Amino acid sequence: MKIGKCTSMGRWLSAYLDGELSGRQSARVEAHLASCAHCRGELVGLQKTQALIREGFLATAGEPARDLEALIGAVRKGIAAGVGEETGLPARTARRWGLRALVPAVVAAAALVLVFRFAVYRTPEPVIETLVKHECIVDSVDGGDRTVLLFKTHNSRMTVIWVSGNGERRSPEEV
Amino acid sequence: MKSRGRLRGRSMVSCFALVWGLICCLGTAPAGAAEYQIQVRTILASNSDQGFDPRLLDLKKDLIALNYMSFQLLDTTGVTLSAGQTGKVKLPGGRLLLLTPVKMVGSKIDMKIVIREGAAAILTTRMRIENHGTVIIGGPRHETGFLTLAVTANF
Repeated sequence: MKIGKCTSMGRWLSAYLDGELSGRQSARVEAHLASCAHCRGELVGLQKTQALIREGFLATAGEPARDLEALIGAVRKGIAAGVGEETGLPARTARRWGLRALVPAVVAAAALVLVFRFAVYRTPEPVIETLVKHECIVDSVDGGDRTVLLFKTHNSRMTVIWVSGNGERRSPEEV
Repeated sequence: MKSRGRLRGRSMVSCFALVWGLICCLGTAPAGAAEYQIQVRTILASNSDQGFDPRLLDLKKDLIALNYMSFQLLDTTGVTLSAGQTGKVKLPGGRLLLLTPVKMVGSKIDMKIVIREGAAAILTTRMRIENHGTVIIGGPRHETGFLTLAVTANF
Protein backbone atom coordinates (compact mmCIF):
# COMPACT_ATOMS: atom_id res chain seq x y z
CA MET A 1 0.00 0.00 0.00
CA LYS A 2 1.29 3.38 -0.93
CA ILE A 3 -0.25 6.17 1.02
CA GLY A 4 1.03 9.65 0.87
CA LYS A 5 -0.85 11.34 -1.88
CA CYS A 6 -4.13 12.89 -0.86
CA THR A 7 -5.67 12.03 -4.25
CA SER A 8 -5.46 8.31 -3.47
CA MET A 9 -6.60 8.59 0.11
CA GLY A 10 -10.36 8.54 -0.48
CA ARG A 11 -10.76 4.76 -0.71
CA TRP A 12 -8.31 4.21 2.13
CA LEU A 13 -10.22 6.56 4.41
CA SER A 14 -13.46 4.78 3.70
CA ALA A 15 -11.88 1.39 4.37
CA TYR A 16 -10.25 2.82 7.49
CA LEU A 17 -13.61 3.93 8.81
CA ASP A 18 -15.17 0.55 8.08
CA GLY A 19 -12.33 -1.19 9.94
CA GLU A 20 -11.31 -3.12 6.83
CA LEU A 21 -7.62 -2.22 6.95
CA SER A 22 -4.90 -4.27 8.57
CA GLY A 23 -3.06 -2.89 11.56
CA ARG A 24 -0.13 -1.80 9.43
CA GLN A 25 -2.36 -0.10 6.87
CA SER A 26 -4.35 1.65 9.59
CA ALA A 27 -1.10 2.91 11.12
CA ARG A 28 -0.07 4.36 7.77
CA VAL A 29 -3.42 6.06 7.31
CA GLU A 30 -3.20 7.49 10.79
CA ALA A 31 0.34 8.72 10.16
CA HIS A 32 -0.87 10.46 7.02
CA LEU A 33 -3.85 11.95 8.79
CA ALA A 34 -1.54 13.35 11.46
CA SER A 35 0.30 15.36 8.85
CA CYS A 36 -2.58 16.25 6.48
CA ALA A 37 -5.33 18.64 7.50
CA HIS A 38 -7.14 18.12 4.21
CA CYS A 39 -7.52 14.37 4.73
CA ARG A 40 -8.56 14.89 8.33
CA GLY A 41 -11.36 17.07 7.01
CA GLU A 42 -12.25 14.35 4.51
CA LEU A 43 -12.37 11.79 7.30
CA VAL A 44 -14.69 13.94 9.37
CA GLY A 45 -16.94 14.42 6.36
CA LEU A 46 -17.05 10.67 5.78
CA GLN A 47 -17.86 10.01 9.41
CA LYS A 48 -20.73 12.49 9.27
CA THR A 49 -22.08 10.94 6.09
CA GLN A 50 -21.97 7.46 7.57
CA ALA A 51 -23.67 8.66 10.72
CA LEU A 52 -26.45 10.28 8.71
CA ILE A 53 -26.99 7.13 6.65
CA ARG A 54 -27.10 4.99 9.78
CA GLU A 55 -29.57 7.31 11.49
CA GLY A 56 -31.78 7.43 8.46
CA PHE A 57 -31.81 3.66 8.12
CA LEU A 58 -32.59 3.10 11.76
CA ALA A 59 -35.38 5.65 11.67
CA THR A 60 -36.94 3.80 8.75
CA ALA A 61 -36.49 0.31 10.19
CA GLY A 62 -37.44 1.30 13.72
CA GLU A 63 -34.99 -1.23 15.08
CA PRO A 64 -31.74 -0.74 16.96
CA ALA A 65 -28.57 -1.52 15.02
CA ARG A 66 -27.80 -4.63 16.99
CA ASP A 67 -31.08 -6.15 15.77
CA LEU A 68 -30.22 -5.58 12.12
CA GLU A 69 -29.54 -9.24 11.43
CA ALA A 70 -32.73 -10.19 13.17
CA LEU A 71 -34.61 -7.68 11.04
CA ILE A 72 -33.18 -9.13 7.81
CA GLY A 73 -34.07 -12.63 8.97
CA ALA A 74 -37.61 -11.54 9.81
CA VAL A 75 -38.03 -9.97 6.39
CA ARG A 76 -36.80 -13.14 4.71
CA LYS A 77 -39.18 -15.27 6.77
CA GLY A 78 -42.02 -12.95 5.90
CA ILE A 79 -41.30 -13.27 2.20
CA ALA A 80 -41.11 -17.07 2.42
CA ALA A 81 -44.24 -17.45 4.54
CA GLY A 82 -46.42 -14.82 2.99
CA VAL A 83 -46.48 -15.92 -0.66
CA GLY A 84 -50.24 -16.05 -0.83
CA GLU A 85 -51.02 -13.34 1.63
CA GLU A 86 -51.13 -10.56 -0.91
CA THR A 87 -53.87 -12.33 -2.81
CA GLY A 88 -55.63 -13.31 0.41
CA LEU A 89 -54.97 -17.02 -0.26
CA PRO A 90 -52.96 -19.51 1.78
CA ALA A 91 -49.44 -20.13 0.44
CA ARG A 92 -50.22 -23.68 -0.73
CA THR A 93 -53.28 -22.53 -2.67
CA ALA A 94 -51.24 -19.79 -4.26
CA ARG A 95 -48.62 -22.31 -5.36
CA ARG A 96 -51.33 -24.51 -6.81
CA TRP A 97 -52.75 -21.57 -8.72
CA GLY A 98 -49.23 -20.95 -9.97
CA LEU A 99 -49.03 -24.52 -11.32
CA ARG A 100 -52.47 -24.23 -12.88
CA ALA A 101 -51.43 -21.11 -14.64
CA LEU A 102 -48.14 -22.69 -15.73
CA VAL A 103 -49.67 -25.64 -17.65
CA PRO A 104 -51.60 -23.55 -20.18
CA ALA A 105 -48.67 -21.19 -20.37
CA VAL A 106 -46.34 -24.06 -21.33
CA VAL A 107 -48.85 -25.44 -23.83
CA ALA A 108 -49.36 -21.99 -25.32
CA ALA A 109 -45.61 -21.48 -25.59
CA ALA A 110 -45.19 -24.86 -27.27
CA ALA A 111 -48.01 -24.08 -29.70
CA LEU A 112 -46.38 -20.76 -30.47
CA VAL A 113 -43.06 -22.49 -31.17
CA LEU A 114 -44.78 -24.99 -33.48
CA VAL A 115 -46.60 -22.21 -35.35
CA PHE A 116 -43.32 -20.35 -35.70
CA ARG A 117 -41.55 -23.50 -36.85
CA PHE A 118 -44.04 -24.33 -39.62
CA ALA A 119 -45.80 -21.12 -40.54
CA VAL A 120 -43.18 -18.43 -40.10
CA TYR A 121 -39.73 -20.01 -40.13
CA ARG A 122 -38.59 -21.63 -43.32
CA THR A 123 -35.28 -23.43 -43.52
CA PRO A 124 -33.25 -21.25 -45.86
CA GLU A 125 -32.44 -22.82 -49.19
CA PRO A 126 -28.74 -23.46 -49.54
CA VAL A 127 -26.90 -21.21 -51.89
CA ILE A 128 -26.16 -23.40 -54.85
CA GLU A 129 -23.30 -21.45 -56.29
CA THR A 130 -20.75 -22.40 -53.69
CA LEU A 131 -17.76 -24.69 -53.73
CA VAL A 132 -19.71 -27.10 -51.53
CA LYS A 133 -21.97 -27.75 -54.51
CA HIS A 134 -19.37 -29.95 -56.08
CA GLU A 135 -18.09 -31.55 -52.97
CA CYS A 136 -17.70 -35.23 -53.72
CA ILE A 137 -15.45 -37.88 -52.26
CA VAL A 138 -14.86 -41.00 -54.32
CA ASP A 139 -14.21 -43.96 -52.06
CA SER A 140 -13.75 -46.65 -54.68
CA VAL A 141 -13.74 -47.06 -58.45
CA ASP A 142 -13.74 -50.30 -60.41
CA GLY A 143 -13.75 -50.14 -64.19
CA GLY A 144 -13.18 -53.82 -64.80
CA ASP A 145 -10.89 -54.14 -67.82
CA ARG A 146 -11.32 -50.48 -68.72
CA THR A 147 -9.15 -47.57 -67.80
CA VAL A 148 -10.71 -45.19 -65.33
CA LEU A 149 -9.53 -41.60 -64.95
CA LEU A 150 -10.44 -39.74 -61.82
CA PHE A 151 -9.84 -36.01 -61.66
CA LYS A 152 -11.29 -32.67 -60.70
CA THR A 153 -12.05 -29.84 -63.10
CA HIS A 154 -9.80 -26.78 -62.83
CA ASN A 155 -12.54 -24.22 -62.37
CA SER A 156 -14.93 -25.44 -59.74
CA ARG A 157 -13.21 -28.63 -58.70
CA MET A 158 -16.02 -30.89 -59.84
CA THR A 159 -15.20 -34.57 -59.63
CA VAL A 160 -15.01 -36.40 -62.96
CA ILE A 161 -14.86 -40.16 -63.43
CA TRP A 162 -13.95 -41.01 -66.97
CA VAL A 163 -14.11 -44.56 -68.29
CA SER A 164 -12.22 -45.30 -71.46
CA GLY A 165 -14.69 -47.31 -73.48
CA ASN A 166 -14.10 -50.36 -75.74
CA GLY A 167 -10.50 -50.70 -74.69
CA GLU A 168 -9.50 -47.63 -76.66
CA ARG A 169 -7.83 -46.01 -73.67
CA ARG A 170 -8.82 -42.53 -74.81
CA SER A 171 -9.01 -39.84 -72.25
CA PRO A 172 -10.53 -36.37 -72.75
CA GLU A 173 -7.04 -34.92 -73.08
CA GLU A 174 -6.26 -37.26 -75.96
CA VAL A 175 -9.30 -36.23 -77.99
CA MET B 1 -54.73 -32.74 -1.18
CA LYS B 2 -51.00 -33.21 -1.17
CA SER B 3 -51.16 -36.29 -3.41
CA ARG B 4 -53.53 -34.50 -5.79
CA GLY B 5 -51.14 -31.61 -6.05
CA ARG B 6 -48.23 -33.98 -6.65
CA LEU B 7 -50.26 -35.80 -9.31
CA ARG B 8 -51.05 -32.52 -11.01
CA GLY B 9 -47.40 -31.58 -10.88
CA ARG B 10 -46.41 -34.87 -12.46
CA SER B 11 -49.00 -34.54 -15.20
CA MET B 12 -47.74 -31.07 -15.91
CA VAL B 13 -44.17 -32.37 -16.20
CA SER B 14 -45.35 -35.20 -18.48
CA CYS B 15 -47.28 -32.75 -20.63
CA PHE B 16 -44.27 -30.49 -20.88
CA ALA B 17 -41.96 -33.42 -21.73
CA LEU B 18 -44.38 -34.63 -24.42
CA VAL B 19 -44.67 -31.22 -26.04
CA TRP B 20 -40.91 -30.69 -25.82
CA GLY B 21 -40.22 -34.09 -27.36
CA LEU B 22 -42.61 -33.28 -30.19
CA ILE B 23 -40.92 -29.96 -30.81
CA CYS B 24 -37.47 -31.60 -30.79
CA CYS B 25 -38.54 -34.33 -33.21
CA LEU B 26 -40.18 -31.92 -35.64
CA GLY B 27 -37.40 -29.42 -35.31
CA THR B 28 -34.48 -31.74 -35.99
CA ALA B 29 -35.90 -34.10 -38.58
CA PRO B 30 -35.62 -32.44 -41.96
CA ALA B 31 -38.56 -32.97 -44.25
CA GLY B 32 -38.04 -36.01 -46.44
CA ALA B 33 -34.81 -36.99 -44.68
CA ALA B 34 -35.12 -40.59 -45.80
CA GLU B 35 -35.51 -39.72 -49.47
CA TYR B 36 -32.85 -38.73 -51.93
CA GLN B 37 -33.59 -37.11 -55.24
CA ILE B 38 -31.03 -38.02 -57.84
CA GLN B 39 -31.00 -36.17 -61.12
CA VAL B 40 -29.16 -37.68 -64.06
CA ARG B 41 -28.43 -35.58 -67.10
CA THR B 42 -27.27 -37.60 -70.07
CA ILE B 43 -24.96 -35.56 -72.28
CA LEU B 44 -23.27 -36.33 -75.54
CA ALA B 45 -19.77 -34.90 -75.64
CA SER B 46 -18.31 -34.74 -79.12
CA ASN B 47 -16.23 -32.67 -81.47
CA SER B 48 -19.11 -31.88 -83.77
CA ASP B 49 -20.08 -28.31 -84.62
CA GLN B 50 -23.32 -28.34 -82.62
CA GLY B 51 -21.82 -26.21 -79.93
CA PHE B 52 -22.84 -25.98 -76.32
CA ASP B 53 -26.39 -26.84 -75.32
CA PRO B 54 -27.80 -23.82 -73.43
CA ARG B 55 -29.61 -26.17 -71.03
CA LEU B 56 -26.23 -27.17 -69.67
CA LEU B 57 -25.02 -23.68 -68.87
CA ASP B 58 -24.70 -24.40 -65.16
CA LEU B 59 -22.17 -27.12 -66.03
CA LYS B 60 -20.36 -25.21 -68.75
CA LYS B 61 -17.22 -24.36 -66.84
CA ASP B 62 -16.86 -27.99 -65.77
CA LEU B 63 -17.74 -29.63 -69.07
CA ILE B 64 -15.38 -27.50 -71.15
CA ALA B 65 -12.58 -28.92 -69.03
CA LEU B 66 -13.21 -32.22 -70.83
CA ASN B 67 -11.76 -30.76 -74.06
CA TYR B 68 -14.68 -31.50 -76.34
CA MET B 69 -16.15 -28.93 -78.70
CA SER B 70 -19.81 -29.85 -78.38
CA PHE B 71 -22.03 -30.82 -75.47
CA GLN B 72 -25.64 -31.75 -76.15
CA LEU B 73 -28.18 -32.74 -73.53
CA LEU B 74 -29.80 -36.01 -74.58
CA ASP B 75 -32.04 -36.68 -71.62
CA THR B 76 -32.78 -35.68 -68.04
CA THR B 77 -34.08 -38.21 -65.57
CA GLY B 78 -34.92 -37.80 -61.91
CA VAL B 79 -35.31 -40.63 -59.45
CA THR B 80 -36.38 -40.42 -55.82
CA LEU B 81 -34.86 -43.16 -53.73
CA SER B 82 -34.71 -44.12 -50.10
CA ALA B 83 -31.61 -45.58 -48.48
CA GLY B 84 -30.80 -49.02 -49.83
CA GLN B 85 -33.17 -48.67 -52.78
CA THR B 86 -31.71 -48.95 -56.28
CA GLY B 87 -32.90 -46.71 -59.08
CA LYS B 88 -32.40 -47.58 -62.71
CA VAL B 89 -31.86 -45.06 -65.47
CA LYS B 90 -31.73 -46.21 -69.07
CA LEU B 91 -28.83 -44.85 -71.04
CA PRO B 92 -28.31 -44.74 -74.80
CA GLY B 93 -26.77 -47.81 -76.38
CA GLY B 94 -28.65 -50.26 -74.17
CA ARG B 95 -26.68 -49.25 -71.14
CA LEU B 96 -28.11 -49.01 -67.68
CA LEU B 97 -27.20 -46.77 -64.80
CA LEU B 98 -27.89 -48.14 -61.31
CA LEU B 99 -27.96 -45.70 -58.41
CA THR B 100 -28.15 -46.83 -54.80
CA PRO B 101 -28.03 -44.32 -51.95
CA VAL B 102 -26.59 -46.32 -49.07
CA LYS B 103 -26.59 -44.08 -46.03
CA MET B 104 -25.84 -40.59 -44.82
CA VAL B 105 -22.24 -40.00 -43.76
CA GLY B 106 -22.14 -36.66 -42.00
CA SER B 107 -23.65 -34.19 -44.44
CA LYS B 108 -23.01 -36.38 -47.48
CA ILE B 109 -24.90 -39.23 -49.03
CA ASP B 110 -22.88 -42.38 -49.51
CA MET B 111 -23.91 -43.67 -52.91
CA LYS B 112 -23.11 -46.64 -55.10
CA ILE B 113 -23.18 -46.07 -58.85
CA VAL B 114 -22.92 -48.81 -61.45
CA ILE B 115 -23.00 -48.53 -65.24
CA ARG B 116 -23.88 -51.74 -66.96
CA GLU B 117 -23.30 -52.53 -70.60
CA GLY B 118 -25.20 -55.70 -71.27
CA ALA B 119 -24.31 -58.11 -68.51
CA ALA B 120 -21.01 -56.49 -67.70
CA ALA B 121 -20.48 -53.65 -65.29
CA ILE B 122 -18.18 -51.16 -67.00
CA LEU B 123 -18.00 -48.99 -63.91
CA THR B 124 -18.69 -49.60 -60.24
CA THR B 125 -17.99 -46.73 -57.90
CA ARG B 126 -18.80 -45.72 -54.38
CA MET B 127 -18.79 -42.06 -53.46
CA ARG B 128 -20.03 -39.52 -50.98
CA ILE B 129 -21.83 -36.51 -52.42
CA GLU B 130 -22.78 -33.30 -50.64
CA ASN B 131 -26.34 -32.05 -50.90
CA HIS B 132 -26.78 -30.45 -54.35
CA GLY B 133 -23.41 -31.91 -55.29
CA THR B 134 -22.73 -33.10 -58.82
CA VAL B 135 -20.34 -35.66 -60.16
CA ILE B 136 -19.54 -36.15 -63.83
CA ILE B 137 -19.21 -39.68 -65.11
CA GLY B 138 -18.34 -40.28 -68.70
CA GLY B 139 -16.48 -42.25 -71.26
CA PRO B 140 -18.67 -44.85 -73.00
CA ARG B 141 -18.78 -44.28 -76.74
CA HIS B 142 -22.04 -43.27 -78.32
CA GLU B 143 -22.58 -42.34 -81.97
CA THR B 144 -19.95 -39.74 -82.81
CA GLY B 145 -19.02 -38.89 -79.27
CA PHE B 146 -18.93 -40.02 -75.69
CA LEU B 147 -21.67 -40.38 -73.15
CA THR B 148 -21.27 -38.07 -70.19
CA LEU B 149 -23.52 -38.20 -67.14
CA ALA B 150 -23.97 -35.39 -64.66
CA VAL B 151 -25.34 -36.98 -61.49
CA THR B 152 -26.69 -34.52 -58.93
CA ALA B 153 -27.90 -35.51 -55.48
CA ASN B 154 -30.54 -33.50 -53.65
CA PHE B 155 -31.74 -34.44 -50.19
